Amino acid sequence: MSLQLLISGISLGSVYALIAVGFAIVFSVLKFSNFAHGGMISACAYIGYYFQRSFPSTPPIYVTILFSALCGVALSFLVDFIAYRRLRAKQAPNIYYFLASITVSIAIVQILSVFYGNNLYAYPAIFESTTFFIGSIRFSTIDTLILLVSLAMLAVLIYLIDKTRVGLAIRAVAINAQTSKLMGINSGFIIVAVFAIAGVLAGVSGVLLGLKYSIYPTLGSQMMLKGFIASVIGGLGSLSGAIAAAIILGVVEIFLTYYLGSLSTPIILFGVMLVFLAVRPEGIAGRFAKDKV
Amino acid sequence: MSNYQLSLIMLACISVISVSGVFAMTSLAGMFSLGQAAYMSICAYLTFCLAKYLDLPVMLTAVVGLAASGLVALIISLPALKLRRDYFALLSVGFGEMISSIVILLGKWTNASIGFSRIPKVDNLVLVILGITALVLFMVRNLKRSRFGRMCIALKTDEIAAKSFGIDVYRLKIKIYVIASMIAAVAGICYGLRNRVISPDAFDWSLSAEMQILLFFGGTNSLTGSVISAAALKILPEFLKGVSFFGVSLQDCKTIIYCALIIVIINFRTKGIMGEHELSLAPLVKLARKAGARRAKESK
Amino acid sequence: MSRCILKTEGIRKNFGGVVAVKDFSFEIDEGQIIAIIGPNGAGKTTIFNLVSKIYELDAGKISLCGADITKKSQIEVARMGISRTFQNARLFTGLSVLDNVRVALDFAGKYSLIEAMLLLPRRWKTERETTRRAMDCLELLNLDRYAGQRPANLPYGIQRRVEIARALVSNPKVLMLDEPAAGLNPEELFQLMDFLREIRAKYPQLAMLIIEHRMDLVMSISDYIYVQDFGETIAQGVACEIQNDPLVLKAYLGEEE
Repeated sequence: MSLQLLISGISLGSVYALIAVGFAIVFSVLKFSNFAHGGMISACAYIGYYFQRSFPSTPPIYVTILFSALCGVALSFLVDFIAYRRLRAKQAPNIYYFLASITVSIAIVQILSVFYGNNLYAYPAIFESTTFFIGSIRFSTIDTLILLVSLAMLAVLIYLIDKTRVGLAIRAVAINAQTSKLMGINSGFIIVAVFAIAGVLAGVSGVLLGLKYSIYPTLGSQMMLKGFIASVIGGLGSLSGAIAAAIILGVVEIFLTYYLGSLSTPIILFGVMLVFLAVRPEGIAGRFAKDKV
Repeated sequence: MSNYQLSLIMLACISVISVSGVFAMTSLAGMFSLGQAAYMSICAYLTFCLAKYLDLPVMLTAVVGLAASGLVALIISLPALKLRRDYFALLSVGFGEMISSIVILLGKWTNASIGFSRIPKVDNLVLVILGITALVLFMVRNLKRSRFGRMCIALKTDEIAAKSFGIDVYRLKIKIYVIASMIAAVAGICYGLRNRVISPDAFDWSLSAEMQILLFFGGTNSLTGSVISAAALKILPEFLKGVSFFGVSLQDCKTIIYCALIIVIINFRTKGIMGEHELSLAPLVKLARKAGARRAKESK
Repeated sequence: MSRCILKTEGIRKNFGGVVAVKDFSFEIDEGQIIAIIGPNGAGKTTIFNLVSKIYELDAGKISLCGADITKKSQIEVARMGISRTFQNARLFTGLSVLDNVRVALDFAGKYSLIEAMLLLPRRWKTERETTRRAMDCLELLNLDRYAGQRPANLPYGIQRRVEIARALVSNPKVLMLDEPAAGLNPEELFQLMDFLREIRAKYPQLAMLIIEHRMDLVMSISDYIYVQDFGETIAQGVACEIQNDPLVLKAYLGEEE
């Protein structure tokens, strides 16, 4: 039993990791918390759902994920175009980005609820059975699929950030935007790249969450909160810290939910986070979550 | 006046109370929270549940509710206000979720998602709420014009410089946060008295976000501006009832429309419609005095 | 014999591998004006930031009127009477000129939050007192006619003066001026020198510490001068000694040779 819970927890945690990374990567380059990410996840979950439903025979899941990821990128650019572009040009203070991103997120949630109502929709079943066995251990098919897809995504992402020129440029801008500009890094391109990555991550995590849960307009915002908790606990702007914290969070949540019920879980998680931040505001990875001097 | 009109006035008043609390927090001290509705929830549930189950007068339990909200705000802010501003804001969302979960968890008393409706009826409620609104506005206005208001604006602009003038930034933020949360709590009581039913869904983070939106709409640093926008934008959708557009009722779309407006304002008129300007009667008074003086001269 | 107000012993600050301030020791007496000069990057502003505790010291000791303040926080140091201006006039843009000056008195304001919100008598009394002191200070610096304006709408020279008023109003023991003449035109510079003399006449106890590039200002007004280069004190003395010190000429006035 506990092994199944563990796998389920890691699988949930890996989705949180996708969200946390999507959130953290925008943060690390643009230095604001992109609340709109939650709205985009919801939107992508709906896009995936309607994509799957719009064919006479359900398309393979990877096609849906790919389509949703592309839509995520488009959406991400659209949000940037509408809400952030002018603020960047004006070099507006942080709080305005933040307000803009919240507003976008609320707008997306409202649009979804006006057009699709607050009903729950479930993705059509993609596997014939919900579980499979390896030896005598039973695994959830969906959880396993989610785990594999998320881990693959994270691996690609880490490769991208650590090994490619674009990744290097992103890291440079994250550390010091001005110096990188002087060194000839095209910051406009980096911003596009970052929003593209965030869009892909929103698209993938939207579909994965849709497969795991039923979809509803505030799904994304709620899940983004978990991703945010992970990125805070992991340490501001630290991708590996965020991934580790997200997986721990997923496992803890699954166990708590199993033993204490789904209502007490958010209370305990929030309490733990508050205490954690009181003791170690710089997060696991040790960067400061305080306002810069 | 008809009951419907009275009810609209109360709606506007409640919106004004909650936005003026957010004004103290965001416009003065630069803190951005999406958890203010949670304080409405805490206070409303405590007030009305205690009144019901312990059979106490609402006046008394309201005081308990207010005190409890203040205490919760204090406990939350001690660690949270050490963080970056946006982290603080996100934390506040988690706080809101936690409070709704607690309300549902205590479903035996709070009636969970169905809503708690055993709220006593108060006579002349409109007058009571109008009185409370006036008092809250008076207090927030005085706050802005006091040494605390000045120190807040100083710390919002430049924390390091503020500290070098002896301003204890952290403690000041905590004080203001507690006050703002207690003002939200007052709004929570009024909400309960008006609607006669409270439910966790009514106090979710979108209500908190709405307060922030109304504030920014009116003007980031203008109390009069945000009060006007709080009242007007809250009532306006009531007149849109029944109007529909391409088969979608406009009232359903109000939040979307507000969001669009906010995006436009942030991008094109960053400081909100009124910016930093306060409406006041001073110019009128001056004009009247001038006219009076002229008349006095002429009569000589 | 005048009393020593502020004293530092071997204060040091490193940023990474760079020594910004190396074992700087100095003392300043009541009523004295001391200047710290030196080329850009010599660590002058870092000294101010160390004394006002914006930065933590890596080594050394600071004392105010004989009491050790090395471990005090930025806020405590400010409250004990060490006041400063900033290199680039960090005025509070959301406040009027008068409020910018009043806010420097506000931490010690004698009324509580509740009294403020309910407009109780102590609030009125304190506010009157605060306003009077702030206006006096603005008058001293000939700024009273700008009281109601926002600093952003004023010329830079005026803004710098508002900053001095803000630092002065709380009647500090030590006033630290970070490049008060930077960005001023010759006429404004002339006015500034007059104002500094007036301040000195009005507050004979006040110790002033000035960072400055403009040699004319430094030479005419300061009682004693420290010359910094690459974080180290390369010379100290009264104006005429400094003017003729070969090391100083080399480091600071090099181009003029």
